[in-house]
Amino acid sequence: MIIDENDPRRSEASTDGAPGSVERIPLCGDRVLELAMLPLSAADQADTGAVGGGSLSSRAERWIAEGAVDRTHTLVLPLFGTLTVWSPTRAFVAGPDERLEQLRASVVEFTSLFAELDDIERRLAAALPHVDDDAALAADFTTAALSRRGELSARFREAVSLRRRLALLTPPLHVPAPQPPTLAGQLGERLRERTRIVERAGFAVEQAELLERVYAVCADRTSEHAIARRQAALEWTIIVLLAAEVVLLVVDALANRTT
Amino acid sequence: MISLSDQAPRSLDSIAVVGGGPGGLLTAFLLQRQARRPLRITIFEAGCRLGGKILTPSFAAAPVRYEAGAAEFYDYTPVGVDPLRELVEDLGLPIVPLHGASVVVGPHTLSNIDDIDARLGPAARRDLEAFHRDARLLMNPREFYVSDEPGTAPGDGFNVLLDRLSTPSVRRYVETLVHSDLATEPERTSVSYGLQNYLMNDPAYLRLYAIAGGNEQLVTALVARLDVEVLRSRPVRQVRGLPDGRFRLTSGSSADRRDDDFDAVVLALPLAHLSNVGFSPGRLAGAMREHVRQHDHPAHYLRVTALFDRPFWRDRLEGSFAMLDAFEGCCLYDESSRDPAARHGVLGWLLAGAAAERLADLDDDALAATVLGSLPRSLEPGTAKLLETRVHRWVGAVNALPGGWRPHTLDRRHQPEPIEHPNLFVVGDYLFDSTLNGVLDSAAHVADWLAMLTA
Repeated sequence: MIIDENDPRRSEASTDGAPGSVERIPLCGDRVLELAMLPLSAADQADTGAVGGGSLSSRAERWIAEGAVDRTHTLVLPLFGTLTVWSPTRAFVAGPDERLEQLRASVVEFTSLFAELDDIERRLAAALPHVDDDAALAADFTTAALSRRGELSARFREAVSLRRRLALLTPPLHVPAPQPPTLAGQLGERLRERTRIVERAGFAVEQAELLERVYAVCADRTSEHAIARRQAALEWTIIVLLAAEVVLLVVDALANRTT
Repeated sequence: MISLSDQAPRSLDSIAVVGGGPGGLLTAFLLQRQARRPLRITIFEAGCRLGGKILTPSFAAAPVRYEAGAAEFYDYTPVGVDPLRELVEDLGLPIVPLHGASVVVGPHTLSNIDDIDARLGPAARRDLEAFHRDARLLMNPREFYVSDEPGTAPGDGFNVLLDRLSTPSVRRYVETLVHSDLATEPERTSVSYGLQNYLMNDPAYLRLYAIAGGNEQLVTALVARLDVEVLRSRPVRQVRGLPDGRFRLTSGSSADRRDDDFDAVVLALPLAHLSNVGFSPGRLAGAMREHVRQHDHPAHYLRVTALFDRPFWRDRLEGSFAMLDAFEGCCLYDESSRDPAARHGVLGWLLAGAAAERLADLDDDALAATVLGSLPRSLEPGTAKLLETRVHRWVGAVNALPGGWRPHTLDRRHQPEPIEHPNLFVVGDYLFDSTLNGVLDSAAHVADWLAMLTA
């Protein structure tokens, strides 16, 4: 989640069609945010109406649509004389020169949180379909399922990993914006509200909890089954040894009787 | 809650609730819900509509709603349990969060600390940050949560705290920010109440919301769940305590005056209206006079709402509301922001305090012209598409909490004469902090009390 300013993947991107200078910012995994920024002139600042409703917004939306993976996420946020057009992979920020760096930080921080949650949600979506089948093993683990021990163990580790990532993700989502409000804080709040990221994180936590509960029980059942199998083997070993001892005693007794 | 009356306790079966505003409706609703046996509850309403200060009418020029009374609800969930929010959820009413950050001071629109730095200078920024830090130290979220229960206020007014601001423009900013919530002037407000109204702009302390479809949905939902007798257009003229501990209420106009006897009475009237009711015998009349005198710190609102063909301000004013420094500080609501499907634009000015009292004497047209003139110059061209204006006067409708005012205990506030008339109660927002949350607290206190007495 933490953006590494020295990441070698960080670079200036091609500005073809972009409404401003473009920077490529690495996010979690192999995800990258292309962020275009445009300083606004004093005239633009005085006439904020041109920022929200004019051609700048249309240009930014076009550029984002060209590179966006999922267009349904594109948000247009005119805010107190600034304009932010945001999607998970491309974003555009226009504002007074002296505030651009704050706005950039706010967009990058939010996008990194969003990317992290998005990745978690995809992993949860991949894991959840197995739960119904695997939950049966949580109730009744059979010898036939022993071959799936590795698979269940991997799913348990995945569930714990997702819970860990969510535990790291949710505190920054709930940190209140600074007061008195800053422009960057207000932009961050708007992005959080419009994407409903806090609610989405809540649902993800519930899903990860379900996974963790099911696979924790599966892990218990697997190890209990393994222990029970070892105990059974041990018992049979003892029985065989005792039987051998009895046989030897009988043979010994018969031998003594003959002599 | 101990009755000092020497009369034998009698069963309470019939209860009169005088006033069909939020206090009366909430008391009847909570009492009906909490009583362990059916009670005969009668609501007397002087007018023809229920709901009092919760009023969501529509314009004549277009079927567009607006809030003419209580504009918003306070959401205390960031700091604790919020009974009003829970009630709204229990009633199944969807809500709309409200946001507003802009304060227009002179030629500047200040929406955040960066604006203050850029427009008023770094010294102003430091001044406001220090004031905010001090405010948070003086009242933490927990103290804020219980601050609707007025304690013994020190003698200073809120203006003494404002004196800490050395930058005049920042002082103007803070005064503008809080004035429409105070509904009076800083010097007529206690430090605690002033802080409460300043810190409510911090989302860590409070959030604001409205009910989707209009705040009057709350009234409709309450009335739909009431199984009580509602007598509309029946103002109560006289409340007489009878020797057996009951009360005789005289109601109606001179043509259709009638008397009804009740075991208990709840007066859920605005403070100013209590003076219109006669009380007897003398002991009760004296107690009611003292009750009115104790709480008589009138504060004022004036609402002017304008319908336009479109929301022409959206590119320049963000959020559900903004504060203007006109009229010593007024709140400008973008009423149409509450309805995503709205095509028309509705702006609502909430004037408060001395300005509201002063301007209330103007006729509606003059008032409309006055408030339209208060818009920032950049918005003036849009006002040409004005379709209709409405004015609602709420002079003396709420109460101030001045510094040095010492409220009675909670029980004493709700039971003006506990010796010989222990079954006469009062309910009102003025007994707390003149908010809907306060009136619910008041109604819940009396409903609990009555439910216990009727058990």
